[in-house]
Amino acid sequence: VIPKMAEVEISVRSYVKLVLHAAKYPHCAVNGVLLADRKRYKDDKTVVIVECVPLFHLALGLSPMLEVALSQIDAYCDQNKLIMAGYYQANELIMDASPTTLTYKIMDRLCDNFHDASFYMVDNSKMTPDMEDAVFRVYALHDGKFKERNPDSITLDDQCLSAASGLLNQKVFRNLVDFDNHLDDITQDWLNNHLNEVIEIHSW
Amino acid sequence: SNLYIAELEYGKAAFCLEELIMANPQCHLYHQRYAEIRYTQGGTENMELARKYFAQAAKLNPTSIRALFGLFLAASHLASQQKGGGKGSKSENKKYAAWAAKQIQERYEAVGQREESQMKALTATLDSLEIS
Repeated sequence: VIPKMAEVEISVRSYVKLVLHAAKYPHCAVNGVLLADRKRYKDDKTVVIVECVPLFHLALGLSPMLEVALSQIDAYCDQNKLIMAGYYQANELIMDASPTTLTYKIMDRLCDNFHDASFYMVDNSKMTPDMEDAVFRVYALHDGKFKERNPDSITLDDQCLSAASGLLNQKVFRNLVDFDNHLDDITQDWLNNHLNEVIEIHSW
Repeated sequence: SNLYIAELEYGKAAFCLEELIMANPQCHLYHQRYAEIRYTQGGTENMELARKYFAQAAKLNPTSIRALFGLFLAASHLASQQKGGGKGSKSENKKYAAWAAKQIQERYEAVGQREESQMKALTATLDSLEIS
C-alpha cells in the first residue's frame, strides 16, 4: 500500500456512472475513463474526478475503437480543461478483480499524459444495491510499479453511495450510454448528459 | 473468438472470424470484427488486411460508423508509413482516409442534435489522427 500520494476525490456523478456501467452489463467486462479537473490539480494537487466516460463492454482489447474513443475524449478534455486521470475496469467473472494486460496498456497511455493517473479495479462482489463502501480498489504508479493506493487517500463525495444505490434500484443503468452504444448508434450521447440531472436530483 | 481476444491470442481469434466470414460472407459485423483484430495485431500486412475488411464492411453496411472509423484509422496508419504515388500507396491511403473522414463528419452532422462540444471533439479527433 502506497504511503503518501495526491488525494483523490470522486464526485457523485462519476461514481454513479461507473457503477451503472458495470451494472448494465453484468455478464461482460466493462471499462471506462475518469476525468479530473485540471485547475484543481494545478492549485492544490488534488485529483478531483468530475466525470466518467464509460467505454466498452464488447471486446475490450481491440485497438481501433479504443483509439477513436480516447482521441475524442482527449479533445473533449482539452476543450473543457479536464484531464484523463483514471481508468476503471470491471472484469467478466465475479471473483476476478485483477488487472489485465489491457489495464496496463491503457495506463501507460494515461500516465504518459498525467503522471498521477490511477486505475480502479471494480470488485464485482461489492456491486449490490445496498452499497456500503466503494466498489473499487485503486492502484497507482509507485517506484515504477503499480501498487494499491491507501484507501484513506480516496474520498468519495458524501452522496456517492446512496445515489448509486438509489439509481441501481431504479434500474437507471438501462439509460446509460457507453462508447460501444455510441458507435452502434451515434445519436446516443457518450457523455450521458441526459443522466446528469437525474444524478443531481439523487445527490441531495 | 471473444475468448481468444481476451487471452490476447489474436491469431486464433482472427481464424475464428475467418470461419465466420466464410459461413456468412454478407455479414458486415464479421468483416468489421476481423478488421479490428488485424488492426490490433499491427504490422503492414495486417493493417492492409484491416483496411480492406473495414472497406468491405462499410460497403456491406454503409451506415456502420465503426467500419468508417476503422477505414480512416487503417488508411491513415498505412499512409504514414508509406511513400510514393503508385497503387496501394501513401496518396491512395490518404484518399481513403479523407473519404472516410468526410463520411464520418457527414453522418455526425446529419444527426443534428449533436452537442457543440462533441462535434468539436470529433473534428479534433479526425484532425489529430490524420497525417499531414
